[in-house]
Amino acid sequence: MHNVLMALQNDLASSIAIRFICQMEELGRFNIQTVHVPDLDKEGDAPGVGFVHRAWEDGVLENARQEISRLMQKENLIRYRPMPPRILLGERDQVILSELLQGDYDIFIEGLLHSFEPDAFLKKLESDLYRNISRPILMVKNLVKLNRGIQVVGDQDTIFSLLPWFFKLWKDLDVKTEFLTCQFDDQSDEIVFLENDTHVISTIEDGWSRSSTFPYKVKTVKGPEMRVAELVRDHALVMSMIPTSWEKMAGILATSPCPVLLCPRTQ
Amino acid sequence: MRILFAVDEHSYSAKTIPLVARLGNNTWADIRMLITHKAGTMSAAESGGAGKQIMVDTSKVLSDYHQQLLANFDPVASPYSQPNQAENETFGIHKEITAQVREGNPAREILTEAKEEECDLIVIGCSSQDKCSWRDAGKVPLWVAGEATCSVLVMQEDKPINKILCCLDHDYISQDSLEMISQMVTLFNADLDIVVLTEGEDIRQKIEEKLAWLVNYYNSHDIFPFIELVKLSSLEAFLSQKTRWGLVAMWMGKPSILGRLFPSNKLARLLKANESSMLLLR
Repeated sequence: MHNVLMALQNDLASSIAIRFICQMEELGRFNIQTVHVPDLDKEGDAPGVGFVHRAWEDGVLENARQEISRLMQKENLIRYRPMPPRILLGERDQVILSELLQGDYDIFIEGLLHSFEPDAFLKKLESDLYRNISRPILMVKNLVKLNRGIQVVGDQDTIFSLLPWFFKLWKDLDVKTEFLTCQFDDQSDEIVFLENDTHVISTIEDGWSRSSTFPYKVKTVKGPEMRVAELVRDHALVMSMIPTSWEKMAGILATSPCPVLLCPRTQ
Repeated sequence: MRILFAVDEHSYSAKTIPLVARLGNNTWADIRMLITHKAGTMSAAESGGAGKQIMVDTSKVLSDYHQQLLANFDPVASPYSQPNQAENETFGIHKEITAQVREGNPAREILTEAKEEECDLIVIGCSSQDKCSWRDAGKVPLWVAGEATCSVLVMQEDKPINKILCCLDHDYISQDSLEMISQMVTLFNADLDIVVLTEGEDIRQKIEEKLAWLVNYYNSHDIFPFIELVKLSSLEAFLSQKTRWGLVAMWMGKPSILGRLFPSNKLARLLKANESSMLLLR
């Protein structure tokens, strides 16, 4: 059973994230704690000081609590008996980081609507939260049926670092899994597949020996970023290490409409 | 619903027949097949072998297509089966598959027929090798797509449809256009990508409300589309990823942003450049 911290806003991205996690709940149990950090800038200028200011803050918190509870009810998250939403004031990234440190969470979840322009995704990668987080982040961009399977994607340096995360989080998940190792080559227009790369297979096999199911596909692909990106589009979940915003992998994940699970470098 | 299926004698028209049949099976629409020949040309049979300029036997082509189309339907249970006059069988739903030959400029005749028959959808096949044209008549599909007042489905020959892109305008999303997209997804057993055009942060909330409704609509039909936001300024770049989709559907009605962005001349360019089949919803 995994402990999940889920950041919610009263918007479509959060609705989609809730639906996705409800779908996953049918495969494995989660303890879900929701958190919401109100954007005080949207509430207008804070009035007064002391008691007056505190009363205003209490009002903002109460409104936000009702709004998030309504969203959870509307999306039927309450059938999984999550804890009551935690409404916290402060700078969003810092508040969530501190909540993750204080609680015993295995995974952080938030929604982000997918855009053709990569700006919003890259901005997330550059945020304090993504740069300092020590837990995997599940960023839900779309609601995808789980029968599309999981894709574990990385380059030669990162693909094997994902294995411990994979086993920790999805060991018992009965969903087909594909491993895609990317070798970027911008000099070429074409992509070349190296099916069943023995080096990758043997390393994965070592990790997999403890598990009952073997990955559905193991692929290595060599080619330009744009062509490789076309292969990271049709899965229920794409799993990768958290890239820096200037890495080619960031560009690939930004263009993928799939939910992405971004794992930190160290466990 | 009434479908006008515009055909000529070439393979892309013949290959579109199964699609029209599946559309018929799903929608129980009245289907009208139309073939045209230019003025001054006539079939060998019509001319008695002495025509001014004998091209092809259009009547025979149409008759063959008609038979091929009918062969796709259950002769007893389908609404296209002929009622048994002898037994005075009048119960049940009966739909028509009719065939028509017109003489004149093909594009103009197709548009006129669609108007006269009050068709909801024109289906037209085209050659993907010749940039979405008809082999002996040039840009007929482009003309029809650009000028028709009803929806048009332009089917590229030999292009499999595994993924459908639907460009929706947040200002106006009609129930009919959503149902047409659902039909296409079911028909081709394809994945659906929905692109929503955004113009700025200020209308974001309005778009989200529409999108939430849209997501609910498709989820309730057991369709789980990928949603993608695209800025208006990036739309042409986005659509240029032409290998991604087998069918691109665009809402082109009068109040539509897409209608404004792609007037008929620009739309023709888009159709020519795009290797996908196109569904223009009006």
